[in-house]
Amino acid sequence: MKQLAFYPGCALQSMSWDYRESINQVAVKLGLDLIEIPDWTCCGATAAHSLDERMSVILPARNLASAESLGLDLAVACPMCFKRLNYSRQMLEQKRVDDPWSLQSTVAIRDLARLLATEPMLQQIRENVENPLTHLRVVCYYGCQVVRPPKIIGFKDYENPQHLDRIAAAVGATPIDWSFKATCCGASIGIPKKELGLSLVNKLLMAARASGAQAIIVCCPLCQSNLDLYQPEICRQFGYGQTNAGLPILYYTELLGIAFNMGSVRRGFKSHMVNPELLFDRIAAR
Amino acid sequence: MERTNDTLQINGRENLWARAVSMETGIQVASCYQCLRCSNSCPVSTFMDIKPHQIVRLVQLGQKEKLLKCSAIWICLSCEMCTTYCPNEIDVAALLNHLKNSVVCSQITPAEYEIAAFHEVFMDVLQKHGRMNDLQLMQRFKFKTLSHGHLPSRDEMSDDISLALELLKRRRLRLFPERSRAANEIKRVLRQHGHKGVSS
Repeated sequence: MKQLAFYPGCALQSMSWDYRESINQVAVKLGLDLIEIPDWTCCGATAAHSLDERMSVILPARNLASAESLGLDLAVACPMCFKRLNYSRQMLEQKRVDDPWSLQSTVAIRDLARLLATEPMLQQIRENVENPLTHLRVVCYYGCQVVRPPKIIGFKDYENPQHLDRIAAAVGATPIDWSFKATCCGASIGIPKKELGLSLVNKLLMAARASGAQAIIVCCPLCQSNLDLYQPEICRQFGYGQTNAGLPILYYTELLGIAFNMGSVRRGFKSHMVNPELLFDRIAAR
Repeated sequence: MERTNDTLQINGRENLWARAVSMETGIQVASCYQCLRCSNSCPVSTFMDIKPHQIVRLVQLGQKEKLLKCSAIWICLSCEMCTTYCPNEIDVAALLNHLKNSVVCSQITPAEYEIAAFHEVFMDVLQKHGRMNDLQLMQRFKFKTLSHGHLPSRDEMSDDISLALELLKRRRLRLFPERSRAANEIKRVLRQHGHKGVSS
């Protein structure tokens, strides 16, 4: 078992509990021991830096200090948290803000999706596939936070990220190339400014449909919520016909769970607005 | 002659402000040659009253008042397309964010009050529990905008209620907030660093 400190973030505790459950189950299968960091706190998301940039540096830092006290590399599942943690560390290293916790920068901050897409992990994934998803065509959607800006994230593939596509391919599915991999879904703007949020999500859903995908694979709780929860309203407002049954929005970990034949992962489908159950039944029937 | 807001003044104090922004943020605003890559890559520039490249220009020209009163800085999603694609390495998103921070420090009411109010209630809930609770976030946001004079239409109310019910049915809303044991520590540190809210 490889031990990692784990920062779930607020979304995984409530709005995206299915992501959390699928991570727990898939991690066990892949020999990862994720140890939740004690007393973790919210990273501040968009709100903290919008009101006061210093808050956005200070808030994530406490979690980095906790991971350092465990002495383990920190795996992060939520892209927003991942970026805020990286940003915080860089600003503290540059001494832009006083560091209340005297960080040593001894542990690595790892994005869970990218970690699973490293070659040794992909090999393990391939070995664990019991139910190859050969007839499934998907588009992978990365959003903003795990790719931009490259200076903070530490990867240069912002133009065409590949890691989710590699995971999808490893379980036998066909990842379709499309142009909207890293186009913003609007994050939380849909709450104070609904029409803006809906228009951004609609653009993404249209592009995904046009590509011929049967589902969208995501790694971000906020992207999942936006793309999934707004679908009924978008159907009403932008007038898609009744024939459109909706596009399931799945986390990469849920895709892995299905491919590993872990029935328990399907429990999480109850949280989805567009139920992916039908899609997998249809594929299984082929 | 009385000066209007639209007159561009490139002298005196206003010019100093541009330099102060560069000094505070480390962003070399003067490097911009108006290639428009920021505005072209921005997913929401069509919704902005002043486009990102114009904002950079107006900072160069010291138009502080105009910028602090524009809605564009609040519409920005912080998706960092502009920052990523700028050929002159100007951190445009950080520049817009700096302007937002400046509004918060001033007496100016944010041009997009609801967006600013959402950020503010987010920080309130965060300080209270150390973690986010979506139900409390939404409740507080609705109350805040209501007390600021936003009366939701009947459609808006029924949409909100039906979404809340769908979310509860799917166990996506927690009725009781989860509290981090470090909540008080966070609150103390934020106070020490002088965190304050939005003026309304």
